[in-house]
Amino acid sequence: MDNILIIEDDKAISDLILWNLELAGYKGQQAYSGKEAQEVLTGFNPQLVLLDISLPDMEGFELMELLMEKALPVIFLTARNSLSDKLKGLKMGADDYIVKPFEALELLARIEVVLRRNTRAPEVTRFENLEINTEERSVRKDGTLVELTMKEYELMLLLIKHRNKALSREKILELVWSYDYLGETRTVDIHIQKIRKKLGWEEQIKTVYKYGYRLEDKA
Amino acid sequence: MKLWQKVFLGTFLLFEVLFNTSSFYLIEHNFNSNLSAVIERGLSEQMIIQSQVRTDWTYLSTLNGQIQLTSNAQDFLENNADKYTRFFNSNEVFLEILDNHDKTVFTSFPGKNDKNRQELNLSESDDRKYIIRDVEGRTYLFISGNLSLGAKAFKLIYIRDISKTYQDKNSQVSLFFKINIVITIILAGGLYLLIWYLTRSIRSLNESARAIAGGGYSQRVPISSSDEIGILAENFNQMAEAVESKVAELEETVKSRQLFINYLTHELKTPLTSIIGYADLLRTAKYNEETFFKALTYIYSEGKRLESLSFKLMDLILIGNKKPEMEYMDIAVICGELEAALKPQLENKQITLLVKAESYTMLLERDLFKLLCSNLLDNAIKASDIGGQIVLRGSVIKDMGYVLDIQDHGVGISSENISRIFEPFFVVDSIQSKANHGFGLGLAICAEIVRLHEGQIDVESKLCEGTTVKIRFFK
Repeated sequence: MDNILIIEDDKAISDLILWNLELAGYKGQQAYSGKEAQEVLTGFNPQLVLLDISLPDMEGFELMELLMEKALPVIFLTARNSLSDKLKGLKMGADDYIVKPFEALELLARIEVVLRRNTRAPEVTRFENLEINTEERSVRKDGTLVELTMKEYELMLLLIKHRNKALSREKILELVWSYDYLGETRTVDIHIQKIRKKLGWEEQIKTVYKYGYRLEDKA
Repeated sequence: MKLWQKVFLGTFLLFEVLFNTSSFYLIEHNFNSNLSAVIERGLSEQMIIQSQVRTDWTYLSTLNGQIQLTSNAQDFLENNADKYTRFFNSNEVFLEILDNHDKTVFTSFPGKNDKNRQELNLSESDDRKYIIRDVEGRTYLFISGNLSLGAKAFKLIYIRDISKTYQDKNSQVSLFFKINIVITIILAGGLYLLIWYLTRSIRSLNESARAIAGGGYSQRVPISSSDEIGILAENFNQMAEAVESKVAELEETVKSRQLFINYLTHELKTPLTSIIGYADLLRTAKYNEETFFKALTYIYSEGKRLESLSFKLMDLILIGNKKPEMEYMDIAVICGELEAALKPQLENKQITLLVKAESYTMLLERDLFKLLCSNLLDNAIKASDIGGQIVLRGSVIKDMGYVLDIQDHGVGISSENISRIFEPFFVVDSIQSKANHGFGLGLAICAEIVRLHEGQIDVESKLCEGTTVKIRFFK
């Protein structure tokens, strides 16, 4: 799984990010200052760095140069939202820029985009007993092919991507059926029922009361 | 029309009118007096000729009686008249003698007289008349008088060519026109240069004013004279100076306000990110007791942090706007109370606090004064090592007021940071300050309180040696 370095001086936020990453299946490493980040970086290479701009011992921009040398993709994470800061960050070669306060879903979405851009996504993704071939758009459960409609397939991918997190019906509608879909949230329920049956996920897809659904892994 | 053009035209026109009228008046006056002199001369010369003729005739008549000469007056005149003009310039003075029927007896006048000769209408015997008339392009003065020789009456007409007098006048006028043209050109050029030169300060003043209005507040007028315009320029420069410093002050205020807002949003966003993030996590993630507890703890502590920030901000805003109720209090008593309030913190780090405050009564706001001292002591405690010592010293300065010193031997502040420590949200050590829930508002609040008491706060510090905060209250 992808390893992500979180350079953020506020412990609460750092923990929050780590948690969200772990729930989504990433591995996280925390550093609370520029110095600490440099120490951590000597040991290993993360696939992505989340970098806070105002660190106690230095500006995130200073650390940026070191990260560029190592050709690491960087997403800036900051409370500053002035245009000049954004431009400076992006010009220095950051891949994206997230302004606090942010939503976990947005953070994960942006991380995924940056990772996909920087590494060739594998054609075959596995989730427990499922084998998903994104090239073929085929799903095998314990080796046998499962027939899924277009929307069922996309819904399944979305749930896997956001495993262990509840997605509201509205969010699912927005992400799978596109923004301007004027359908009812009932559509989501019907498709969830179908996926549960076809993939044997009766237990794994939990209904969250008055909110939506959550795919839980067995671990 | 521009001022210099107005001054130029006004001066120019006024001069031209005065110069022309006075010159024409002079020429005219000169001519008139010349003319009357000529007329006077003519009249007296006519008189001389007339009396000469009469004398000669009387003499001749007497002789006539003795030697029986047969001769009459008409013959006498015809034969002798030309002699009377020989003393005069023959081109200028002419004589004409007419009989009582206005028939010419004698004439030396070359011109042709017209019919209408008013000078001939003489009534009384000693009556004389003169007239000025143009004949054949020349101007003549005609003076006529009665001449009685014996029984016969004649008219003697003295004619003088006075064209020269008129020519003099004309040449004066034409000379005047020539002079006028030269003077006009010199005057116009001179006035133009002079006025242009004198109004140059106004023009540069104008340019500077326009530059300043366009935002170039550093623009100044070069002062080149000590007249009214020079003084105006000087006052103008002073005004520009005042505007410039005011603008700089306003820009500084705007900048520090912007900085304040930037820091404030940062301080607000950080706990808000955590609170929203953890609440969302609790709402969406799979239930897990450990996660649940940890998230709630973060939400609680970040909420507390927001609360403390809002209280500190409120303090800062209230102190800034408040007109506190001051009362006379003894500083030494308040300092004593502080020691008790800070006891747990002091014991925690085993720090000794020495209070040596002289008794001094002054007008102060009790709660704010305590907040000021406890903020400063709090900073001193945070800066000090375990087992350190802090001194709170208060001394009366005769006739001046009171000085309060708070001295620690802690970490100190670097010289580049000292100038900024009173700025809101400025923290010297952000890791330390975050651990202590600090926002960098404490010293900003202190500065406000001191300002309210019309005092002065100064900080002296050396890295690793300690910090002394000195507050002066003036009498």
